[in-house]
Amino acid sequence: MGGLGSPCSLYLTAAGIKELTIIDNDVLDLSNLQRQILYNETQVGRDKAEITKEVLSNLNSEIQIKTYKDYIDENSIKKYLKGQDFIVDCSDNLQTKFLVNKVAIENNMKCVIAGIKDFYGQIITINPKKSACYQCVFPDPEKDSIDPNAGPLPVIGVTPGILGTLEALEVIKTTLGLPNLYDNLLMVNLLDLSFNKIQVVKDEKCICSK
Amino acid sequence: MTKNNSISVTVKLFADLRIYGPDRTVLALQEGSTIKSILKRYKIPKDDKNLIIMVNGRPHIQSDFVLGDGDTVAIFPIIAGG
Repeated sequence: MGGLGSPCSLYLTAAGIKELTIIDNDVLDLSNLQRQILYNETQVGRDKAEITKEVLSNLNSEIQIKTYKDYIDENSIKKYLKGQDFIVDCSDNLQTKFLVNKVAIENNMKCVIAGIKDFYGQIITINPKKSACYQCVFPDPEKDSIDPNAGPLPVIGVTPGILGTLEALEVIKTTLGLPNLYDNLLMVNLLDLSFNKIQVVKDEKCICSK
Repeated sequence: MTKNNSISVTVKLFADLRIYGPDRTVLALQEGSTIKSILKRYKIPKDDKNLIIMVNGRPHIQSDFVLGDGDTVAIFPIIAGG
């Protein structure tokens, strides 16, 4: 649970989402604390999955929090899909974002995907086979030349705070049937404080149209 | 279509691409202009791997795409961090 996952999981827990399943293989590092507001200094060196369960359970004891110390990849993600209604991508890499998009479509699960860098963020909510998906907007990094192994990105701590909060908002609104970001990519610029929706037309050649 | 075979195209730049120009500009371009001419005008590197170009919400636009009158071009990066 990183910069996006921290606020997102806190708000979903506080909102009383019935059950949260969280997968993270990382150990808390002091450098994480600038943006990962789930944690504090006394927890450095511990597994994030373990801390996350403690923090969220203390926030709301009435919901079921399941955490797993694991990597997300093509094989492992299948283990965690059963019984889920929604996937929230809070990853920090393109491979996972494309994987989440793909499995959401294959399993007909709604999902929200966000990314951040510096003062900028982008977020899209996907209704499989009905709305435009992540790959409608962004080319598959395996087929195109986007470097999936680019190094760490600079980030202002508040940026994932806002985008992670927007992810929680999208989950809540989508679950309640309220207007959301289907067929729109929201671009957030925190330098000039602008929020712009880019309407996206579903790509007929995309994996979500097959 | 405007006079002298020119077309009107709205260009929107997002996130760190704003270093190349304002967030929204309406350009008068020669009929037959392509995305390449816009990238050249803004001095945006066309081989930028993270560059996403949409025309009227349609993705996966190549640099040789011929623009039409009234088109809206959105140019933005893919943002991977979390």
